[in-house]
Amino acid sequence: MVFNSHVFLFAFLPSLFTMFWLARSRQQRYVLLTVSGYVFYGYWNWRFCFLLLFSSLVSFVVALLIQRAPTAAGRRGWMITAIGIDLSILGFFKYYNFFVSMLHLVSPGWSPTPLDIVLPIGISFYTFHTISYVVDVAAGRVRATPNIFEYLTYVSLFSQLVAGPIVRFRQIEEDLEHLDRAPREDFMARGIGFFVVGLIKKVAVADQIAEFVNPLLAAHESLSTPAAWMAALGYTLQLYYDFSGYSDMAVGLGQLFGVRIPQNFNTPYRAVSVGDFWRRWHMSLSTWLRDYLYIPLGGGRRGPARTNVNLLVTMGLGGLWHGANWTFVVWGLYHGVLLMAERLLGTRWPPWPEPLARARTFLLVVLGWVLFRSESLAMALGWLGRLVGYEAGSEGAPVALLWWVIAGVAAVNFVPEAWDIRFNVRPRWAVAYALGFVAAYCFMNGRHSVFLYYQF
Amino acid sequence: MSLICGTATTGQGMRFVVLFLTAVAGVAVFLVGLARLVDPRDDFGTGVFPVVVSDARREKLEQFVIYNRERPVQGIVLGSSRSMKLRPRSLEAVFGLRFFNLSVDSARAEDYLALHRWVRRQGASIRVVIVGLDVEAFHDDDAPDSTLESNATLRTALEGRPLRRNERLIQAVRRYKSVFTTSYVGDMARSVGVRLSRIPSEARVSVFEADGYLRYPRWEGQRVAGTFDLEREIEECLPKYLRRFQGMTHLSARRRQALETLIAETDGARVIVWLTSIHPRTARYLEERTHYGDLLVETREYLEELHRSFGVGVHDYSEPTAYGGAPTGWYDCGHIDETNAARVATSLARDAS
Repeated sequence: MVFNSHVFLFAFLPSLFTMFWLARSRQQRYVLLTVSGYVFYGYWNWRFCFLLLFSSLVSFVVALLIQRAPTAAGRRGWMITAIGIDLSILGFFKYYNFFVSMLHLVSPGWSPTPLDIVLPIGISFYTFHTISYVVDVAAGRVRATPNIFEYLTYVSLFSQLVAGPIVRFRQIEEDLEHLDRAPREDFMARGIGFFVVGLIKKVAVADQIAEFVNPLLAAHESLSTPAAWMAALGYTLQLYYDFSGYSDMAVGLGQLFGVRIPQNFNTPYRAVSVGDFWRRWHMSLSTWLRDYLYIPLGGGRRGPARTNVNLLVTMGLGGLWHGANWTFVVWGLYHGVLLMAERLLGTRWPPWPEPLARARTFLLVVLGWVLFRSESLAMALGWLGRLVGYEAGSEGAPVALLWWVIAGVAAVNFVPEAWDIRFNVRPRWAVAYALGFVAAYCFMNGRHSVFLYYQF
Repeated sequence: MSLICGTATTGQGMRFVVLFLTAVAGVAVFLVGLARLVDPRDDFGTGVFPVVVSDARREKLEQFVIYNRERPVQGIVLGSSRSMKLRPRSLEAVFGLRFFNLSVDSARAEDYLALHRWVRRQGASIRVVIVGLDVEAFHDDDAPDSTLESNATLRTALEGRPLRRNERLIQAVRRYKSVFTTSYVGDMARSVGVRLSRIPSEARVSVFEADGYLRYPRWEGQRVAGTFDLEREIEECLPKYLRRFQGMTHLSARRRQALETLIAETDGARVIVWLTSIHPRTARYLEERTHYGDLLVETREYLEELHRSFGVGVHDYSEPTAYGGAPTGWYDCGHIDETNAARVATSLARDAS
């Protein structure tokens, strides 16, 4: 189920919202949110609900065992067990065929047969949820909850189940503990406001740009240089409006049920360096990678050489997390190299004026998205080549896309994020949201498009 | 409201939600009211503002009744808007029969069947059925066009029974739902704009003559004024054609069955099927991005099969060279102009004799 579908907007959300606020006790609300999370997830493929449940139960039980373990070694053992199980599931469903194909390249005679595996939607996200919970319990940052439904609510909360943000238990623990409180008008206003802003971003901007970008990239081999640039810039904007729109909707939905989901985007295309970009883009992932991968690897504490290795490993694995394709790995490494370069050069070179630094970062990020969007390294190389006029074809870009790009680039530089809006409870805001909602609904044109990050 | 406002505290918290939902309902009612007033597609028969989008299915049924009443129709042209330029008078000269062009927008195979059944119900004795077949008439999405769905007369003809109460209700809901789309809102704006500018000839992209023949007042006017830009028109409609073919991987068995049923129900009438063309640039564009090339091959093979199994006359005009089509004889991605339409008619006369 997707947020911008009829079944979600007119059946799932209203019925769950009504039942949730009719329910009186915290436990009833946990059960409701858990069941609704599984209905939301199972609407795509009910069989994978069992996988979600299994993964959740493992981390729930292991977290309790960690808490009861008398020794640090015991806690560590249980933690590794849970992470191992979680990563094995993720590895099998997401990366098995990828590694088999790699093995086949190295040693055709020894590689196992590829399997017809369906990638469970959202598996990368909920695996990171469960891992962060177990690690936080083992580190003593959070107490394991003995309430199975509170935990299941955390993992299967429909608003962030399929494509994030990657919320840590401790970030919403307080709200979950007080789930039985009465609705707050400011929460409702923020919830509706965030949701409507996100919906507009998705259907009125991202999907409209996609109408031009997708056909261009379907014929990427014949793109002219201007068309290659328009496709790259168009996709840069499409991805931002799609994913940040989704994140805003997730935040809004959380607020409607009394759960404050943290910020995931902070005007990323205004970043003045690649490091700054990662503090603004998919913030829940970048902080997750920092806290659960980069810092445990040693972070920047073990000298410059090791820091660089840690950066590369973190960004490379971060790339691989997005998908079982070399394009993602190379994209992650590309960002790792850029971060390394910034560390090396940052202290030696004088800082650039902000507009130039912004433009430089934007350009580097756009080039990265070429890798990210490409279906293969060959496509990426071809596309990058066409950007500089190498083997460029004759396929032009529609003028309408140029206008979208101009407006979009201006918007990402000057229009505030949803988080910067002070959502108000005054009646005229309700009317403004209603107008926005109906306008966004008109842009849906009776269809619903899947969010780009659903594939991860 | 009482359902979600169980207590005073809950009620206070929900005040904003109730305000929002009330405002949404208000905006929706306003939009529906505006749609009923402007009525740009003639869905409600208001008639205050000009109709800017024709519903060929509804219009042509009304026209057929009048045309058939004047003198019985003996031949019909079925197909999509790509066949609408086939002039009945040209066919009359070839076949010696009175023709009506019953092609409708975005026709799929079930449209052909529904229209043919409806014509038979009118008591018309049809001796020649010419089907202008598009590849996408066999789209494997099996989803009927929305204007067929909302046309009770054609639905009844297709189903062979009157619509049930729930089906009529669903039809009404769909009609109102279609108001909440950017294309409908755009049509409303256009209708109001045309009314304010008082240039009626610019109002509709297309109008039908009494025999169902299509005219394009706007494009024809632009050609006369020398402002018509074919390249720009093609540029604009390419995404629409791409959407049409995206997701289509093979010919629908259900839709092939619909065409075969039509052929079986013609009671000895002569059936001629011609495969329509799209502009070569559109064809290239689709071949690069969709399965269009494979689908065209599959359609050609199917037509051969139809010829063998049913003795139907089939003519492959999917390449403009097959009927001597001029590269400039187009109005957009897939719609031929008068010149190319005349060449299609001449070729049909030659090949069908």
